[in-house]
Amino acid sequence: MNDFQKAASVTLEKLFFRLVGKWRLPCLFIILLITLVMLFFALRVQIESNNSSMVSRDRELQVNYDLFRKTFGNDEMLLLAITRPQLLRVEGLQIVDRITGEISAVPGVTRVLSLTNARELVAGAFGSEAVPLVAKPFTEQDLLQISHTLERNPELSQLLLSKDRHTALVLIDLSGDALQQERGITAIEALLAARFGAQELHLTGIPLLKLTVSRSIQRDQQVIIPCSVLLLGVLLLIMFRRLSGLLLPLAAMAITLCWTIGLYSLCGYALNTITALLPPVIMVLSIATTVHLYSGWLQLAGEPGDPKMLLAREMRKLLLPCLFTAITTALGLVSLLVSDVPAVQLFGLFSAAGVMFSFVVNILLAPSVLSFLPIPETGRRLYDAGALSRVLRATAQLTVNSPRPVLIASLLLALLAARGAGRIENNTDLVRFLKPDSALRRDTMMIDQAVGGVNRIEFMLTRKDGKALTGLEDMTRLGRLHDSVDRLQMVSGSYSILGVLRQLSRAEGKRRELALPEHADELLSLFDLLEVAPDQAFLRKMVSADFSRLRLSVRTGSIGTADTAKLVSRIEQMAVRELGEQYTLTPTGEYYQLVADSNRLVANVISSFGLSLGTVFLAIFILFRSLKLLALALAPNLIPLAWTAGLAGYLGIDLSTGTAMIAAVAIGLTIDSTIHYLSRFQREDRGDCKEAVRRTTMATGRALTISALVLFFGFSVGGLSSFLPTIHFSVLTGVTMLGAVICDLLVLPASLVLCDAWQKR
Amino acid sequence: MKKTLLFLTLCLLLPTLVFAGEAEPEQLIRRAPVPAEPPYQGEVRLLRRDSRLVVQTILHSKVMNHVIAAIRKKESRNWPAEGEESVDSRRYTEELVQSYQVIRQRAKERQQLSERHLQLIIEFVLEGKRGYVALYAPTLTQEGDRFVVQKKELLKKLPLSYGYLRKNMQFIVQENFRLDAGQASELLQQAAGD
Repeated sequence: MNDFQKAASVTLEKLFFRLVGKWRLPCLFIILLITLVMLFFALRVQIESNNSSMVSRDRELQVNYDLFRKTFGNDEMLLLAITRPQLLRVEGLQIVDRITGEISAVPGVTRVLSLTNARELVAGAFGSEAVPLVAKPFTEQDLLQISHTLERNPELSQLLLSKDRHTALVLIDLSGDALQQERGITAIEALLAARFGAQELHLTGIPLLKLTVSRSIQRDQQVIIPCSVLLLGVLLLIMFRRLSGLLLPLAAMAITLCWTIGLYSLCGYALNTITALLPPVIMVLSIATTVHLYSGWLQLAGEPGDPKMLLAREMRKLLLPCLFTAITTALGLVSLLVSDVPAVQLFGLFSAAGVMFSFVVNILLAPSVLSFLPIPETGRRLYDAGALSRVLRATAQLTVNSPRPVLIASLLLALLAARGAGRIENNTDLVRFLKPDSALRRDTMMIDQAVGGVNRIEFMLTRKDGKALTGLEDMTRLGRLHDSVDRLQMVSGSYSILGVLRQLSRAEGKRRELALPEHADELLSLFDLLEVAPDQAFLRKMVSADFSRLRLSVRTGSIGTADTAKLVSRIEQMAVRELGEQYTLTPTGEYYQLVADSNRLVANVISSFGLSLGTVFLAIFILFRSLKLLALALAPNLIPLAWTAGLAGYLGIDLSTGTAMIAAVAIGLTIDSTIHYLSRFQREDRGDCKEAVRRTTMATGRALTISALVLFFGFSVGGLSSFLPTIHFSVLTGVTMLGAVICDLLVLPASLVLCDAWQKR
Repeated sequence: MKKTLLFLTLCLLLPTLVFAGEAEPEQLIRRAPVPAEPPYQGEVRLLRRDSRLVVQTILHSKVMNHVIAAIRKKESRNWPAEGEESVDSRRYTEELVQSYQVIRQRAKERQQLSERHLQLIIEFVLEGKRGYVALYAPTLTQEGDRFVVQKKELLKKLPLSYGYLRKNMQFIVQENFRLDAGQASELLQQAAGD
């Protein structure tokens, strides 16, 4: 230790001495004051209802979607399936008609389309006429007629009816305003429950998914936070068997949570799917720091001297490792800022802030509070006996006596894990994020099976020269693209203005078959007719007013984002082949936006892991200023991540918006145990490496194991969440913490012993 | 002195003569674009032309065949075959279709591919207890929801019964000025100065 370090050490010890002396009451008062102010804001934190923070800041994507919405209106839609064995009988049609009518009257609903209000174009005495697809009043005699009508209009039938004709779909367009949407959906749900409770109804759609997520976040906050407190409390009681060992960490945790969520709310942010993880993550991270400080205090048992002086010295010793563990954890989390999805950025930023708050709170609160308590008499004895001590002693012996087998075994496990990790796929399935017993997931799967899909990928078709797409060649090529897209396995149908034009052409030409006119002039006349058609709002949902921009909707089954991205890519290739180079087909829409964001989120978070790894190891180098220790720190931190990845692969857990964050978050946490171990090792190493390892394992092993168990169980509470990615994130991060402590107590000491042996050789 | 008086008399008469040589003066009483929202397919005007009351329908449409079909549909609905004035209605719609064919043929001959609009003016005219329907091939310019008649060529003048013309004018006024039957009748009466 050089002179500067000695001087700094003395100054710090003096400061801590003052903190545990005359500064403790003012310090506690200031903490209380700040906490009360932050609590005020924390209690007012909002829940995001429109998922807007999950939408990326990718400019091109946003510009395209804005243009799409400006041209074709809001594409957010609900799908209601009505299933009856005799759907097309009078009673069935009456039910569909009543539901259609009553939903149309719900505020926030802009348009409803179903079998009973859809219209087909037919040839009339004075040209084409729009007539109801199913004429009213419904009679049993019309059944054959209905059947013929449906066969005559395959596109409408496919859109509104299942193949077995037992399920009718009601398409419900919603207003673009988030608040109106929420009110609309709530009113529809209430209406269906109150008026049509006896019917077999299934409701789904992206807006409902968003609302369900919002509701689940609220529910999770109410369940997970109390459960976390309860579980962590029980764990602390078991580990420390002292009231102070329970109350101090819980107090530090509550204060950190108030500060972080208070600041989050004060900055005007609302909790979203990702930032809903902030409270449990911060609670767990905060406890880990307190555990180390409290364990250090317990180790003072039996030490001779002034209790306050001893406490100040112990706190001074723990300050640097705690500061660096806080910094490394925060760096791991801050690396999430590379993501362009605001929700992930917010999570990274505020969880890092929470970690630093936790450090400040703990380093001020723990000495201040502990200074009021007498130094325990049984602390050291507790550490020297018991099952955990025996396990730690055996672990230390194993690493000292058989370092090679320990390393080989861990590497073999890592290799096995690497095989499992190869099975991981980058895939975010929004509906399957919900638990299998969730009503929305069940409904979505049912509709998916009945009608072949609930998701719609939207495309905008334009000519590169900006001209109107009214030429016969334009429509013929679009028809070819439709045919190709419809043949794709994952596609259950594609829709555009072409369907309307074919109907219009059949009606105008008094033909039987659905086909485009043969001459360009006739097609132009059809567009002229569209221009003056009465229901312009309906047409504007398919084509721009100047006909220069067309909408192509592709309905797909409930597939994950990876498959959707592949599908979009396939369709784009088809567009180049079928349409040619003079056209542009741009994927967009609410669903595509979610897919693109999810995929990019995963890609960004993976790249942020590299940043996290780099900064965390740089921090280690700055702390220990030893390349050897830096190199030795790599294995015990990367191996647990490999184990977790392997476990996820074998369990079939995909890399999703939730699980992708594990690596970036975990690396900042796993390194903490390594820092604590190596700090102690440096203090214990007086030339005999094996003895230093034994002493370090015995001294820090308990705190490391307790904090790892706290982290494991703390994260595992996330298993009570309503979302599978949150469950996966929580449980897998917890498992990584257990893997990390195993590696820190086995791989790291074994590496130290082997390295020392090589150096001596 | 006589020469001076003669000159002054001629000076006083000259404006009257010039006025007499101009187009008939019109007084626009009410107008409405058709339909009420764009894209506009024409305009309906209620005019006073001297002692004559005119309901003028200016059509400027790319789907003139459908406009004509819509008129025919309304005519057949308003004047059922068993009714007294159905003969007038049939004569009117027959002349309307013929006039449409004339303007369509002329457009084809001109082969104006960039201009797909066809133009037609239908006037229901009442003078006292007599009246007629006149069909014109006009040259129009559009200014927002208004159409300016540059010139018009008479294609057909068809005298019809007062009852048919008066009732049809009321239908047109009622529909396009968004009035009820009583208000439409009252407006026509006021416009005619009855």
